[in-house]
Amino acid sequence: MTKLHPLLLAAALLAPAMPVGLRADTPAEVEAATLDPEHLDAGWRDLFATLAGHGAVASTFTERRWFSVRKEPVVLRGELRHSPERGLSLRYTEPEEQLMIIDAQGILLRNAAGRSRALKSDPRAPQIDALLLPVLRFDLAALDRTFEIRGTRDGSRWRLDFTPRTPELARTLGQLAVSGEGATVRQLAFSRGPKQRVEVAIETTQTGASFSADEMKRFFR
Amino acid sequence: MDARRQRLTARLLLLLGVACGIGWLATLDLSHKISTDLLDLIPRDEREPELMFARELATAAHARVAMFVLRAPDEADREAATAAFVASLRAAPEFAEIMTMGDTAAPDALARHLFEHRLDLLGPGWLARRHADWEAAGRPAPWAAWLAETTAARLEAFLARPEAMAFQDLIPADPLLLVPDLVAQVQALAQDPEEIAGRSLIWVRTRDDPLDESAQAPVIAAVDTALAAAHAIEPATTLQWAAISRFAAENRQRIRGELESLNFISFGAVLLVAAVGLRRLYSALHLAPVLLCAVLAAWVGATAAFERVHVLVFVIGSLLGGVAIDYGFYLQLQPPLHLGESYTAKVRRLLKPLLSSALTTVLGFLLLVVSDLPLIRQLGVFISAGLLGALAAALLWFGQMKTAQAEARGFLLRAWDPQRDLGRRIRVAALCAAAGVALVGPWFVRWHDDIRELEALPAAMRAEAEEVRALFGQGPGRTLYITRGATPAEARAALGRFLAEHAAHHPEASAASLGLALPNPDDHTAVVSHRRELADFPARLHEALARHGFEAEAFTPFVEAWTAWLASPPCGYDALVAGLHGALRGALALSFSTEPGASWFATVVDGAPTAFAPKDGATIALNRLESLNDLFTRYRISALRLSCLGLGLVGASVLAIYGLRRGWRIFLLPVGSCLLAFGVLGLLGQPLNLFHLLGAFLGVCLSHNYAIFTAENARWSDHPAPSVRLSALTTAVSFGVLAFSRIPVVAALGSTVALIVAAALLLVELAPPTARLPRGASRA
Repeated sequence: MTKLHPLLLAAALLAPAMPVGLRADTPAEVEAATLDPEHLDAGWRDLFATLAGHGAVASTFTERRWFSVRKEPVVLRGELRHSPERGLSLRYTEPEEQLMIIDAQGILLRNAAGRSRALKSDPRAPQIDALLLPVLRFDLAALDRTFEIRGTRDGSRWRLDFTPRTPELARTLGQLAVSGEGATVRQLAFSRGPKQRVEVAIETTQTGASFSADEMKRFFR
Repeated sequence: MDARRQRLTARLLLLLGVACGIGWLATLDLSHKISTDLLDLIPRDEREPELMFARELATAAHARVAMFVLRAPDEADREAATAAFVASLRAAPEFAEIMTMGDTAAPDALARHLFEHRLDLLGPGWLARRHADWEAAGRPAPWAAWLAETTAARLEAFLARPEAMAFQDLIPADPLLLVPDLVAQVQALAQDPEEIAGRSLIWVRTRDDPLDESAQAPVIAAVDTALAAAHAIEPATTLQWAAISRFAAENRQRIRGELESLNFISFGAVLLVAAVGLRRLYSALHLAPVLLCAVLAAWVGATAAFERVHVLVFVIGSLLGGVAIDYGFYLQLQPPLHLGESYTAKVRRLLKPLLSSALTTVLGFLLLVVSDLPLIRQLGVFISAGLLGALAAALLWFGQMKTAQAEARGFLLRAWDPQRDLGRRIRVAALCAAAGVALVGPWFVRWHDDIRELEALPAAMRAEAEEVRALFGQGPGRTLYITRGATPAEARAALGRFLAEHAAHHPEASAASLGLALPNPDDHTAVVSHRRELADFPARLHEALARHGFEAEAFTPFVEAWTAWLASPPCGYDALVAGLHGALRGALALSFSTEPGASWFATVVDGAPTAFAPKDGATIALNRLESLNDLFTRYRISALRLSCLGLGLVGASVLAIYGLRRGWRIFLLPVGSCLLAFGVLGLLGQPLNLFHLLGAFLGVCLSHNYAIFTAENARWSDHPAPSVRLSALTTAVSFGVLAFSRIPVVAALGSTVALIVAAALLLVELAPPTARLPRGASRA
């Protein structure tokens, strides 16, 4: 039986926050170079500092999931909220209302009726918050421990490729890529092959967002 | 009978009694006779099903589980130390099964079995639910076609759900979503990885009964060896572990330590006060044989009356010394009526108060024999036998001596009139204050029954056990239910009813049971007809999947599995159960039982325990501690009734012996001192339990003795009997020391008895001499 890998689940979630499809508007054609956190050039250093300093983020997204058994991708739409303190909240609005929260306590699913379900995963698997929340925070030091990071820039456009350092993580998570333009994240993608991938296109983005108490209660744990 | 012959007879009788007692004890296998098992304090025929089941579980494989948590500063070092620890445990013959949370064998074996047998195990339930939907929809299309269309639509919707990504490799072989549905249902059984991060968790099943004393030390030694192996890799490795064998051994060791030290302290305190209160030190030593004989009689009585006696009875029973010494003091200190009064004449004179006090106390304690709680029954016999032994030993011991008279020191003989010496106002104020406390304080008494107080475990070890159990998913945030049946099929049917009922009452709570991996028996039977009707299901499904945008050819693994399933003969229910149970390892194997006549499934419900009580008697909530605490509350109430009845009997006996007016005055002292003690405890906010109640019963019997001796003494003297003063002082001191015991039970008993005795002495001293003398009576 295939195990329930929270990382894959997170991939689906994070895709909104940043799925990776290597689209034409990303600088894929430019040779990516390995990034060493200790020896970043000023351009990358500034970009990471800017992205990490965004604080809370609110976005809308469109997620496309490719399955090997489907002819066309499954399309989901929703809202993304990221709070550096409270974690990531993905509210899917189409095709059905569903909320997913990834935070230091793990993954929580909440359906339209308000019923919550914590997803418990194989305890042997790496911790999802420890692996993926640093991606959202652009915590380079934490990311470097888990991933080999390669980056490429073409003018204001940039792309970061994260390759898991362990085979287990590579098997469950696949490749992760984040791309954007200037200080804006445009796309995030997870890929385990041409027929198994998730792409999330970030649409409107509001950085430095502040969430009301009601939003905190509704969208976070 | 002349004096010499009387002494010889007394000596022979005493020796004979002691020899018989020691001989009886010598014939016993004390390791079998004396139990340290906490569950022996629960009646074997306990009426509550959850308690019966708790007993069964505790004596079955569950009791053999030991849980270990290892920590080390560095993760790599921790893993290496854990490997060394586990290797050492595996080498030890004491352990039958060892699993770490990183061990993939058990979950992989279960996952493989579930996947390979998904159509047999999960298919019937799935088909039954779909068939019910088809019926409910009014059979809108032929069954196979409708089922195919529904399956494709359901799969399409599933792919839009967050968890779909995790199952994408599985979907070609399981478009019915049998396994994802089960995974969603049993999520609560999984460990929360956040909670166990940074630790290594190891689950172990010991080979032998953990309550078998001979098996405990080897387990502890093997764990020490394993920890040493871990320390050789990483010296900073720390270990926390919880195992019944460890707690039982620690409990026994500490109780034995308390037993020895308490007996010593109690005995020493009594002798010390006696030495201070008596003019000649050696006369205090004459009380030692009386005490030893009392304890011997108590041991003989308890071991003869019960097949097994809990060790706590001996710990609590060591307090017997405080009561048993009364008779010796009274015989020794009561002055002769005239010079040359013979021992026989003195005994004849004092026999009435001696018998009155002893027999009424024994009567009260014997009443405890009808209690439901074994501990109380055993204590009743232990103390009754001890008191009778003490009385007999006192009479015989002083009877075999040439002179049995002891003299108290001046402070014990001092005659005083509280009205004269204290002043009327002070005396009245003191009596009013005592009355106020006795009448008001008991209303503030708060009862709190906690079975953990029976344990002598140190708080740190208890906290460690709770932490370890919580890490293994047995924390207070979960409720465990057990659904039973004579056969696995019966139990599974009952589980279905329970889950439906629970979902109706608590739709927000997730209930997980591995029993869900087995089909409901009715669904399993019905699947035979479904198999006949669904021969063309793969073809219909192929068409439906294509219509819903799927690559229909990708589902070849499912078609092959379905075809093979239809071609093979239906799998029998017993074979399904045996196959699933055989695939379980470690803790999972304890989640259900297939024992003939006693099959059951465990269900874990996330969230704090609720008041939900399943209507179906087959399912019980197994919150063991709560159940046992409730049990203790019930027994405390039962003991309270018995104590009140016993007190009533004692009172009636006194009234019968001493008449209404005098008997009432005698009876007022134990009742007043008891109320005063409870008043003090109530006003201090001390929560009380069953053992405060037992202590009160003991204290009432003591103060009852003092009341009788004081009333009798008033015939000959205008001050309280020195024996009462000395006895009360020795008892208050010895029980006061016990109030500081590390065993909460003993501390409760000690503090209560000490308070009641002190209160009784206070009331005796505050009563004016005229009040002690019966109206119309004159001093001899």
